[in-house]
Amino acid sequence: MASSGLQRFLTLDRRWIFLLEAVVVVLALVGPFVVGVKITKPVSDFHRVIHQSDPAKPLLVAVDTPPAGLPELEPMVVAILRHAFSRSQPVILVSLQMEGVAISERILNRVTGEINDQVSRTGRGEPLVSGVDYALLGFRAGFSSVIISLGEEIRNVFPTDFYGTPLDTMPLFRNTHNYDDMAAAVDISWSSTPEAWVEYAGVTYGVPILVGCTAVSAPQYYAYLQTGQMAGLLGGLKGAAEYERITNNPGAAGRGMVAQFGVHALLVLAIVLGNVAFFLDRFMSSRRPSPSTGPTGTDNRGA
Amino acid sequence: MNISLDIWIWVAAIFTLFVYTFLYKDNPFYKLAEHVMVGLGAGYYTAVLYHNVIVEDFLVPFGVTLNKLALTPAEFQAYADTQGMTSLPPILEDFTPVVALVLLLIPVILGLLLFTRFIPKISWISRYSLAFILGANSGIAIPNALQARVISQLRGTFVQDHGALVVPLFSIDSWRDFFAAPGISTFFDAISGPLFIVGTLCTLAYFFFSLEHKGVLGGAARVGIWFLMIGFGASFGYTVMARVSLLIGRVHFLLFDWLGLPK
Repeated sequence: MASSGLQRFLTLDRRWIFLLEAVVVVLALVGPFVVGVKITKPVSDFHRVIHQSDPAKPLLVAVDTPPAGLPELEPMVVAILRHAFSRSQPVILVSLQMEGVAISERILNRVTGEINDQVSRTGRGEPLVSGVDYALLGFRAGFSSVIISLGEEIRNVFPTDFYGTPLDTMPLFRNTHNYDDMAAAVDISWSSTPEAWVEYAGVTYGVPILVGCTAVSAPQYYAYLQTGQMAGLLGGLKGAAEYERITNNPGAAGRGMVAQFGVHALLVLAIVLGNVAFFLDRFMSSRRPSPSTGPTGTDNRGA
Repeated sequence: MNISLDIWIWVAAIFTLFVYTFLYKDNPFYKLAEHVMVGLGAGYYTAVLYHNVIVEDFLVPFGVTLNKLALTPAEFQAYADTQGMTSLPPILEDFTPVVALVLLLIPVILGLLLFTRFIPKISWISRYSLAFILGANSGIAIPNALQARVISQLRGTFVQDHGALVVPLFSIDSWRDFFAAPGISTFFDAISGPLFIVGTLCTLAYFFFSLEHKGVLGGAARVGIWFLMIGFGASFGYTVMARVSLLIGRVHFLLFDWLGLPK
């Protein structure tokens, strides 16, 4: 009886696990739950580099992600933009991956729209203006060549912004020509572009490289953090949640961490129960007489 | 609850649900979503690449350069003003219009030569383009990759930079700090450097196949396996977090953007 229960558990249809995960995520998102997020060193380093940079120098942000990377990377872009705009630091957005341009345009419009709405509502501060406080330059193919060319003259790669306005007519680019005129290069990426930024911008031009990446990619970049080739790292939703917290900008990532906690707890429980059931089943099987052996324990398969 | 009235939010929500029906079993709704996504992706890539590469990197500067060649400076300025153009990319400004035209045509010709791959008799011509691509990319990539991935990483196995201060990974000072103020933080600070060196050497020993893995090398290789397994475990943990994040992102969209639940 117990053995058949164990067998049923061990052969449980995985769709039940999917359903449980979905239930946990929904409950975590709609419920009044909160989990604490501890700020780790890679994130505090990321924040420090931006926070201590000259606010007159623009921040170069490369949004290199397709829609599949958005759940982890969008909160990072939002938090970074809010942080930069809160200290009146201009932002230049580029994309080295073609889906990135539509995504960066949507996020930029959302963040600047929210800030400008707040300014018009409260009457405090100045509204953000394209070409002065930010610029969306769009996508260029061939990311290694683009990264190298940005170190020489930004106009060589992007003579105009995404909407066709020449950079020469924008106040933001009056004194901005290459990495020397920028505070840091931030790559928000779901692919291997951060390594290209380290190799071509970091090694060649010495600009601080800050990386926000999906959790899958994060482990491979710790080696670059340890050597200082990357000045800071936001890894996955957790990194985004930490950045939201350190900049005091609560957002989607912080709320997502509750669901992360719930699903992780569920998965750990499933792994533990699965292992216990597996070993218990093996133990019970070893105590049962095998159908292939006779009452004396001798092998009678050949009889 | 404040359900969205935006049609595109509804389209996105319905397609999200179509894709998730695959978790139950394969079905026509999932297939529809899959095919629409592939079609949209192909269309989007074609449009963006045509606009960003063929139009902006070639047709526009080529047209400007041709006009610069054909018109007097005053006429060109009038033309540029009416077209809303100011100038060529600065990299082409340093050249005469004829040289600029040649510089623009070289990559186009090399690109077109790649299409000779489809004609077996003259497919060898495409090797010239490939030779250029390989040569140029290798020339750009090798020195930087060597510096970033080998030399800097090798240096990072022995020392760590703290601003202007260079600290060896096996630092007596960190042990002195630990014994002065024993605690988890100071312990990990003290042990992380030596652990890093041991981990790197033992993992390298595991991948050293020129000698049989026995004796000291065998022991180091076995320790290396442990480091590898811990590394794989960390990677797996991060992967789980990434995949769960995708689910959270979609559920967040369905609950708050589509169904309009209060945040």
